[in-house]
Amino acid sequence: MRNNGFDDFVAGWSSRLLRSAYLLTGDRGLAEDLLQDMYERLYVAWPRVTDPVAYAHRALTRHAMNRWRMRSRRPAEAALGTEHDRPDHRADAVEALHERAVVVSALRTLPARQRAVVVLRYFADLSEADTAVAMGCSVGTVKSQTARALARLRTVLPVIDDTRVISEDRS
Amino acid sequence: MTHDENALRAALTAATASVDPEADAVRRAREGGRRRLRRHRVQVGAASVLTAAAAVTGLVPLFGGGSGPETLAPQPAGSGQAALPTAAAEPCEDQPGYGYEITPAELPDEVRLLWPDDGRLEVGEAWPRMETGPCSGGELSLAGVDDDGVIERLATVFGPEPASVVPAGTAPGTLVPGPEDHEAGRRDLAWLLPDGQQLRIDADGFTPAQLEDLAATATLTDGAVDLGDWPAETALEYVGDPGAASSTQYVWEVSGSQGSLSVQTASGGIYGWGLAGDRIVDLDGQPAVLRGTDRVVWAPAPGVVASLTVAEGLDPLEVAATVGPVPADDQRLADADAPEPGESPSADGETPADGETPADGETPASGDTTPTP
Repeated sequence: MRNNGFDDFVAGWSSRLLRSAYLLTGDRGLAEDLLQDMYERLYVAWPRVTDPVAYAHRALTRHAMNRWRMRSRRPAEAALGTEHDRPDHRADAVEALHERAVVVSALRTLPARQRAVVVLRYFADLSEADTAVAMGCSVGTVKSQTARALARLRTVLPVIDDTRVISEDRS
Repeated sequence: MTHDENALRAALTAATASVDPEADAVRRAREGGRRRLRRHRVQVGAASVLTAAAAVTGLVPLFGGGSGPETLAPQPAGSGQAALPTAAAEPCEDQPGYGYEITPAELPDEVRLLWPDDGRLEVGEAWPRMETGPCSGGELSLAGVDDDGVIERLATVFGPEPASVVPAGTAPGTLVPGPEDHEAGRRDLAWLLPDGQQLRIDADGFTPAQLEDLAATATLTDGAVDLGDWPAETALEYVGDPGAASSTQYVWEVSGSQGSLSVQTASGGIYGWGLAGDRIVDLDGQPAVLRGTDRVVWAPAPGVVASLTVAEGLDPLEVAATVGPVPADDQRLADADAPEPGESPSADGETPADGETPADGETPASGDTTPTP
């Protein structure tokens, strides 16, 4: 079969990749659009792809940084808010929702490249080298963009302020 | 990892804990991929098959030559950039499934278009290319609109082409559902002509009876689809110019932070680039398809389709009206970056199925992989 393993990849990675896309775009609808477009490209390229995770991160990042280019022949989709998320039954769901809004708002204050390094380094857990590949830039650029992003986030995101520590077990 | 980096990691994870994909993500991904694959094959004449075969034989590069940083397959021995085939072979002759990196100067003048150098839109990337493959059948697109110009019905007829959907022995004119029939409410149907060639239609908004009439009416004139009086009888306001088969396509994509422009040689008119709900508007006396407030598709020259997307605050029609031929030595093109390997500068680029340049993590012809998270 031409695309053996594609379904397994999508099933196994959709949550992680959608969340990355969400952090990259700050919008659930755009994130889903980004992910779907990436999957379609990946499907076409699948027989030649040896590292689909790297492919996915690269495609999501590039297209998120150039989001307006993503508007294809498909109609623009309305952005979906949290009402389209699955119910969060955690005891601290309300607080989590607030935290999410805070995090997304903080990420929105970053330029696209800085937002991308934050998501790739600290959410997707890519190395600096892999982040550089995904973004199509040098490792040095990743380092500098990361430093600037962290400096900025320290001013707008309380959780990474040294005076406030978020519990690791929240994750 | 410092304290605040760990805290950031935890915050990002917590913030997305309830962001889960829809239950049918796998199906949508697979079907979307199949649809894109089919579109590529239709548009470039199943270049993927020949490309793969050619790559296996080691005869040709895939997007080889030029100064691109990566190629999919080794360069042919003793060659630099492969010689460009004749763009408009008459009659159409199958060509190997190549993707060529070319220079702006090698584009036809009617494809090398750009917005004016008035400081409003910059040029970040510019990507000229040419793709060849087997002769793909022509296209003919049609649209019907409401009183406000909003597309209610549209269809694109592809072909003629060798029968691939319709089983041998099927009576000519008998509609056979294609693999994507009824997806998103659209009809994907194929039928045979009396000579055994196949026509296909991607239609939205037509009744089964209308499509049956179309299949019964369609003929070929000089190798191109001829629908006779069917569009008029069906009260369709817009009919594209039927295009003949072609084995060469030029594509020119330019992008900057305020907009992107994609121009390519294409037959059959602009309506196949639309969707129900788009609006047909006037652009310098010619019809154009307007989507939302930021995208317009028009035909700047016969056999050429241009698509422009602009950033918020710009009027796509106003910008499109200023788009025109640009000299190959325009300084903006000289200063533009080439896209990264494997990246189309625009989602509209629709790089050919198996002929696209590789993204990282992609190799020419690997075996299937089944990665897990």
